[in-house]
Amino acid sequence: MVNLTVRPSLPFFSKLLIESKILLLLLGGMLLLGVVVVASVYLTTQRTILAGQITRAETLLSDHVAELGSVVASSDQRRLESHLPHLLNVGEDIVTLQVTDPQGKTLARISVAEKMTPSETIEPDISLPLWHDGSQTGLLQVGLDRRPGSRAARSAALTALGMMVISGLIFFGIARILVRRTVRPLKDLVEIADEISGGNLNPRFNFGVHVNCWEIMDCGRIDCRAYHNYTQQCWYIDGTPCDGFEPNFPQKLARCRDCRVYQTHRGDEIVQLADSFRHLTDVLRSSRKDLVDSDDFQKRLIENSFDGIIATDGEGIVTIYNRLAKKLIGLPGDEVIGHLHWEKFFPSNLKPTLDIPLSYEPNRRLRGFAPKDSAIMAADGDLIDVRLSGISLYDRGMHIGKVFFFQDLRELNTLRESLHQSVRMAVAGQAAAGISHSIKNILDGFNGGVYVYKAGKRGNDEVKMDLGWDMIERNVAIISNLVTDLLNFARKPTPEYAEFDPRGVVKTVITDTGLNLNTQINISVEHEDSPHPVVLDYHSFHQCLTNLLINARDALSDKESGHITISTGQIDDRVYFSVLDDGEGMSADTIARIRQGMYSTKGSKGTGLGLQVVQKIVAEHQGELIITSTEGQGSTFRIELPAAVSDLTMID
Amino acid sequence: MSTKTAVVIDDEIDLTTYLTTILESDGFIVKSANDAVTGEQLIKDVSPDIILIDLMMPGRTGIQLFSRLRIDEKTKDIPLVMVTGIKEQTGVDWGEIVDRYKTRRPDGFVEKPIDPERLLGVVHGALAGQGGDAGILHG
Repeated sequence: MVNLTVRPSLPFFSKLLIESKILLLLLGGMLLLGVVVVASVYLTTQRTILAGQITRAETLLSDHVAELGSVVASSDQRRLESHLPHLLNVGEDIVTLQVTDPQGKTLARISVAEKMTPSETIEPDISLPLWHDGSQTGLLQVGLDRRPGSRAARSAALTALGMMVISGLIFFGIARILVRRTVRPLKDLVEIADEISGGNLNPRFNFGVHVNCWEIMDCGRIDCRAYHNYTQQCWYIDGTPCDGFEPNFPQKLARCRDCRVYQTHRGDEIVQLADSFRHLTDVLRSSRKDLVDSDDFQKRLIENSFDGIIATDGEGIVTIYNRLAKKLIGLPGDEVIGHLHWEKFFPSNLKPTLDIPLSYEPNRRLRGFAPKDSAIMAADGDLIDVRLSGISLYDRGMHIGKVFFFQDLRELNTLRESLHQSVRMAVAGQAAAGISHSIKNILDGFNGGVYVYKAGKRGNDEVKMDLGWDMIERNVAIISNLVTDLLNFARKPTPEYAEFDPRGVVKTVITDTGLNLNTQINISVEHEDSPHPVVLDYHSFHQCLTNLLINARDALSDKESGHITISTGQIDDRVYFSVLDDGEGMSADTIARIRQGMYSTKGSKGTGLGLQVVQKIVAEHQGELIITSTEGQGSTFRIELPAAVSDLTMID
Repeated sequence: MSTKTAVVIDDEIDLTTYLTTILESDGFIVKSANDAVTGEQLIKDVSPDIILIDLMMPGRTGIQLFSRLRIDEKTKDIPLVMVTGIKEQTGVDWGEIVDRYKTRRPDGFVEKPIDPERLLGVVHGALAGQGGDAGILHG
């Protein structure tokens, strides 16, 4: 795996000569200087040798010059030619001899063939005049052996060259080592950097330095946990700098320390650089993994969402189109992503409602729309009911795209419809039961009235006849009220909203119910000063308040005398009508049941319909019905309506 | 036939009048009350021969009044007829009530709307001891 070759001895050199190109230059300069020195030494030596040769030859020949002068004077050519070879043997450096007459005419010439190349012309090194009896008879010209072959010169030159070669080799070796130790890791780092920027976050660290601590290789300590166990050796833990990248690295490091063979590296900049570099790649790798993981997660999230998701770039071209979107729309992903504009998926009449909240406006606060019922267009042109929300995406104020989320409402709508149906059936059943019960009671009232009337008539008892007649009349009133409630509950009237003084409304209702004539009940009316006018549909609201007053009256019916307080007033921007009785009161459970409807506390007299009508009318007025009650003390029914609201709307 | 006394307890005045008139036509002396508390006192005062109670009354209900009357030594043997409008809605478990109070079931049941002849039939049946534990729910 990791090839670790670093030794503690390296830093000393590498610190001195980080930049080994300077070293190479120095080395080249030194070599050049060496050549110059050797050459000049060589030349100087040559000249000194020649001077020595001349002096030596002149000394040796001086003894023979007088004799040669007499031989030349004798003009005996044979004697001269036989004499010259003797002279050649006087000194070993003498290679040519030439005798001329004083006019320069050559008289005799001799040379040592093996000591000179044949083509060599003789440039005399020494010229000696020849004398006999006081007059010059000729000139002896001597050529010396000038080959660089003199033994002294040769050995000096060879020694210098040898030293040059050896020192050159030594320098080359050192330079090579230093290059290997300094420049190569740097070069490797450059290559690794290139690899990393090329996207490979797992480059090969050939120089193998990735932790600034290690156990000495081959320490041979058998008691060391890392002995022959490479996975325990600090440097071997791939991708873990000393400060710990791998979770359990500190523990492993501690074990190395226990072995006492752990050493901390100090000061080698290259090693540290490599170390930091490796650390950097580890961090990058980890970050990239996080990014990839997060990206994968998001993709999965989007793909498996229970919402259809379509996202676009800043131009509106689709970039995300998930599984459910595909299923709903029916177009394959490769035809959509990167090709289609989001507007393709919506019917043209809907586009403005989507485009406006999603269009780019730098200072817009609302950058989308909340889920709403809408429609999306399938590949075959069908419109699919969806619950749709959309949002515009911004990055530093720049619009970078849009996202749409949608749910198929078709199934939901079917379910909702069937639920409505069953609720309607349940309500209808409950209503029918309540109404039939109520009608039974009224029938009893009628039957009873007729029976009592007849009984009175039979016995000529006028009191009984009146009693019976009253019963009939009362039940006529009850049934007409029931019919009105039913109509109010069932119909969808066209309300006529107008502004009214709440005091006037209360007064009319009290009069119309005839409660003010009931001597058993004490009615008080409380109005806040100058109440705000209230907007209401007079007809329905009259019914609403009437029902509450009748309820209050009925709640008091067991008592000999009771008290009802009707008050109006304003809280913030709402006008209230409150009906308070000091009757029996209700438990929280009872309040919940009467709110549900078709439940009455009036025994067989009530249908439970009255409060339903109240709730319905209050809702139509965008108001609220607040019921508070204490058992044994009485109840308060308070209607709160918005004051002076102009756009009251119907609520289904 | 000696004159018998009946007490009618119903929260509805109209129904009380109706029941009273029916029983009076049959020769009963009828006293009536419109709530359970007054009714209980009335029964103790009058010691009637028969009691008619509306099952559904606000406040103390007919069932509560029934059980109080049944455990009171003075009243427990007086025949008692329940007038019910909504037996199907109340779903009264008479078995459970009878077990709990170790008492007899009502001696007769009359369901609304009231049919005078049937009412009198049930009342006489109760007086004759044909109701009680063997009482049959009419309806």
